[in-house]
Amino acid sequence: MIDEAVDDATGSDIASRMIDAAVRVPFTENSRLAEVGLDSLTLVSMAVECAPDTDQEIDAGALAQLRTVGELRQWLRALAGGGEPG
Amino acid sequence: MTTTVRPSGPAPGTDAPWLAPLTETQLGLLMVHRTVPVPHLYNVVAEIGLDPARTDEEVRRALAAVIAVQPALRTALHAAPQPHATLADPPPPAAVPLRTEVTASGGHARRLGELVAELSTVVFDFAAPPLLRAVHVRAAAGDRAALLLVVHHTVFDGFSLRPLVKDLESALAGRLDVVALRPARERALHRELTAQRDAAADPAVEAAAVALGERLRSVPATVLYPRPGRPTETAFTGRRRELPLSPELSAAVDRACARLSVTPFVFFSALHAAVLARHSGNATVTFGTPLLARRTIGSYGLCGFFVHTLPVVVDIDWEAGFADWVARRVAPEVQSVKERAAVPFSRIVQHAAPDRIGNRNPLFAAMLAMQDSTEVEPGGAVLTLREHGTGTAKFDLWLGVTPTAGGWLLEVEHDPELLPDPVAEGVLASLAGAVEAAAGDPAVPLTGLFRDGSALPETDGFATGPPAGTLDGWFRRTAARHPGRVAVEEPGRRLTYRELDAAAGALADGLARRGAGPGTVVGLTTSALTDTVVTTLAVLRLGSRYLPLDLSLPADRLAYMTEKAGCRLVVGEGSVPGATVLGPAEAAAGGAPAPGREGPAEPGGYIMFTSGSTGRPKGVAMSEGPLLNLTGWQLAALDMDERTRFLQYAPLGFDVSFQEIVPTLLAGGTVVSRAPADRRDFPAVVRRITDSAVTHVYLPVAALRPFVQAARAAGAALEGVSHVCVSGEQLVADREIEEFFAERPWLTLVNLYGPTETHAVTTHRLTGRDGGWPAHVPIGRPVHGVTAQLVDASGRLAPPGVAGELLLGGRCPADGYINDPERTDERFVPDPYGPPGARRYRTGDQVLRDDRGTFVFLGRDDDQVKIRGHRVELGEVESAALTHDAVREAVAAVRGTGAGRELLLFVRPAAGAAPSAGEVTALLSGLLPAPMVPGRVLTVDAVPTTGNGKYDRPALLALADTLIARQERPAPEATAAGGPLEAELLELWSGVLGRTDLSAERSLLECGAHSLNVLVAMTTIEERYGAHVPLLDFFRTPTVRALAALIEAGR
Repeated sequence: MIDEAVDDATGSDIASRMIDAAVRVPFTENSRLAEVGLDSLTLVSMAVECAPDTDQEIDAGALAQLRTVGELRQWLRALAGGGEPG
Repeated sequence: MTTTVRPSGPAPGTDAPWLAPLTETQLGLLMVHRTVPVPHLYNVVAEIGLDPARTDEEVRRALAAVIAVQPALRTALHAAPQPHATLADPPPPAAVPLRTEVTASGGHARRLGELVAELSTVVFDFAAPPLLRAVHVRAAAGDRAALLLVVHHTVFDGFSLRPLVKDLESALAGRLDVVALRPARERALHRELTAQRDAAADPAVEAAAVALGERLRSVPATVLYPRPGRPTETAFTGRRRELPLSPELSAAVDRACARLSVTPFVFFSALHAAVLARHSGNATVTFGTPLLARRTIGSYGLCGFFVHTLPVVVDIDWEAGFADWVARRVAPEVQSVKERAAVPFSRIVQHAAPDRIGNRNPLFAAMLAMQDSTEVEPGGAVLTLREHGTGTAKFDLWLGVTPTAGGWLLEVEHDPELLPDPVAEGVLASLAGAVEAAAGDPAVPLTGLFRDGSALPETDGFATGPPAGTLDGWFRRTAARHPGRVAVEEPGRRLTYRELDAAAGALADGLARRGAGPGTVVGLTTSALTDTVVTTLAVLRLGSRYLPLDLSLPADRLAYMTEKAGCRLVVGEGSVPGATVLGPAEAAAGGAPAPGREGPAEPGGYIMFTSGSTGRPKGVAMSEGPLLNLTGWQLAALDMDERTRFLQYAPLGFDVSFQEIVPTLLAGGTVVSRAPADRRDFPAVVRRITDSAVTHVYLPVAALRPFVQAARAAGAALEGVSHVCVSGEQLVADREIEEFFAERPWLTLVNLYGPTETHAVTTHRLTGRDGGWPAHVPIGRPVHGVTAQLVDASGRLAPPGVAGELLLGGRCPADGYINDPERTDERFVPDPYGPPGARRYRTGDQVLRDDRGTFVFLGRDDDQVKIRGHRVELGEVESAALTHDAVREAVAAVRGTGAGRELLLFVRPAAGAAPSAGEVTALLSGLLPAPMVPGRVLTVDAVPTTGNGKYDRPALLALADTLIARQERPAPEATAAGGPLEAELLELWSGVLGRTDLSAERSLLECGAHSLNVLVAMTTIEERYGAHVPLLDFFRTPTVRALAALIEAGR
């Protein structure tokens, strides 16, 4: 994991900036993605922007398992860090 | 896996030529391309609305740039020797496959439509990229322009529209860095294709495919418009219907999604599933849905075909509320499907091992596609984006859901050969109703999603108003009109109308003196037809009910019947437990007529006991109202008058006997006895018909074929006969029957349907002049005065093409079951569509209305023959087998349960013939859908029959194991290769399948062949032998021997 990617729990890392930009309603870490209007295509485009390496793979199955904003944040951070998202 | 050698290509960045593996999904599509008759079936056609200020040259250069940076558009696809893709260099702008056109004023939209249709039918050569053609169309007025594109689906999924349009936008704006992007994108495509291949090898993918296959095998096929004789191969033509939701309704849909906390995908999946459940009648439905299966981050900038179509299997719970059902059933299913997005379709097919039905998709009849790639960024040269239908239908029914600026757009595409327009309109109406109901109130009960799907059907158009209020009153008028005519005749005895009227009157008086009258029941055991007719009329004259009693029934059964019906007095012969039996003369004897009895105080009727496969027989109490209605109809429909001579064939205990006797007497005709012919001696029956100039014959369905054979054998033209009626079970008209009627165009075959509880209620007529009879003859349209309702799985009146239980109201239901209020209330229920107090009878029969409004009988609720979810019509199998000249008789039967359920065909060869099982199977494979082709064809010397002349299937099934053992004694020549071609093919397949135990006669599918390696093998075979092998023919008989024959035939 790249240190700069995470400032703090909900800080100003790229994942958090993207979530803040994409979600237009009040939300918490436990908010469900469907409720805050994040569909799978939006998640994909966030992933594409987060990942530093175009060879990185994202698994559609794992993507489908994301339920909450918190889970999404963790997953995007892992991607941004070049790690295996899961 | 499909290949043993895997092209992975050179490391990107080297100078070696670009080479990448095809995905399983691409290979699967190439396979489909080989098997369907429409080479353009998988064309994707898009209309990109462009800034009209852009010149043709600008667009040409932009498109060239897009093709340069989108390597998938430049790939060539090869199936052999190993499936792989190669890459062509970008064409210079002048060579880009782009046409330009300027449309005349006012004709722009029309011309666009023509061009869309033209592009839809472009046929691509997979070895000659780019797999894209385009037309830049500008209106002469300069106010509109569009770039129309057709791309083959093997290199372009729905998502590809996004990167394509994004690149086009950049190119038109002069921002597309072709020099930098081209190598990066080529590398990215290579990386993605390799990642796809590696992912497909993941054991988790295989495990998920196995699980999905198992799930699919355990659920019945979702078959829309499940009529007998449904085509199994179609030309894949398609019609599209749009259902744009208003902004208000669209907003309501969005609110409903939020309230249910589900995505629109889940919401529309739920509606689609409910509509499919209604229209298929299934309690579990399956549809496919394409899911994005891209793996690498870089692939999201690429065009390509990285979609997996997965099955969504939804259990329906009609008792549930929509919201609750979505939460419990639909949302978890959609979630689990999305989690399995990495599983290629072909792998599921492999594990589901479905019955291949003709050239249709083996797994899904229906699809749901969320089309969310048509939004465009405002402010650029690309103004709009939409995908067009191509006049084809890949599925029986496809539902596309697209978010547009104006709201949700629903589109339904259907194959009119499978779903004719009236049926498709019904589907659309169900969908429209369901969207409105669910969006308006997500808590709506599932049954509340739908409205009645049809009005009550029209009758068959025949009716005569009864001239009197009772059957007896009508008879007296007729008797008075021609007293001297013969009313009944049998060997040695005939009665004129005058004599019959007098005898009936005398017997009525005698019976009245013995207590018979309205509300009483008089038994009949008469054996002579004249006695039967006299007694029937006498009982009706009293306002009583007659109860036919068959003396061959066991004593305890007779005792039950008389006791249940409250019958103490019997006219006829023999002895009946619990009742006094008087001969007709004896019953009529004894003093003067009772005074002042001109007619009954109330109309009578009859009691007939249904045989009842379970439980005790039920005594149906039929009254004169329905019988008068039926008689009025029958006189018109069967063209009956004083010239009518109706054969009395039916046993008295069957309600058909009423139709033979009473309407004939009311018409002034003559009832002719079957005697001296025995009921099952058809040559004698034919002689009786000819000798006594019979005009009307009414037979049980099972007797029609022997009757036809006997008449043909006797050379009987039957010129005097006008109507042959049949009823009792499903009529399957085979070639012999149709020919018989074609030779005798003066005959009308009338197929009647009606349970004892309502008497005959629907009819369908055929004549030899019609030609092209349906094998499964419809039951037609309702009789005058009868309301026939089909209630579908959702509890509403069924739309066209939807199976439902038939409920019968109007002037047909009996009073009920005599002295059995409980069972009466169960089956005779209030009719909400009739006037207050109206009742309808629940038949328990599954029926559908075809697209022309004709009723088609499907079977009993509880007793339909289904093999792996597909309805199997035994009569149709038999009828197809009889087209083989060497087959004299054929009987299909089913044994086993669940997945082990197996269809067997027993054949009795024609004299001197010996048809082989393989021959008959090959014939049937050409005529019937796969589930209806018997697993085994067994030869028997004789076909056993039951007492009433029907085939004795249990007796045949008892013989099956012995016959199979005899058949399976190995024939030594079956295993060896028959010639050099077979030997070469065996070697080739051994290599493809990696095993050495193949034989010429063994099914290659059982040895590991599946659609993908078959494609590889066939491509190799075609190259080697220069022969075209029709793949569907190969799949019908997938053996080396049959393949060798196909190659020989194709050279």
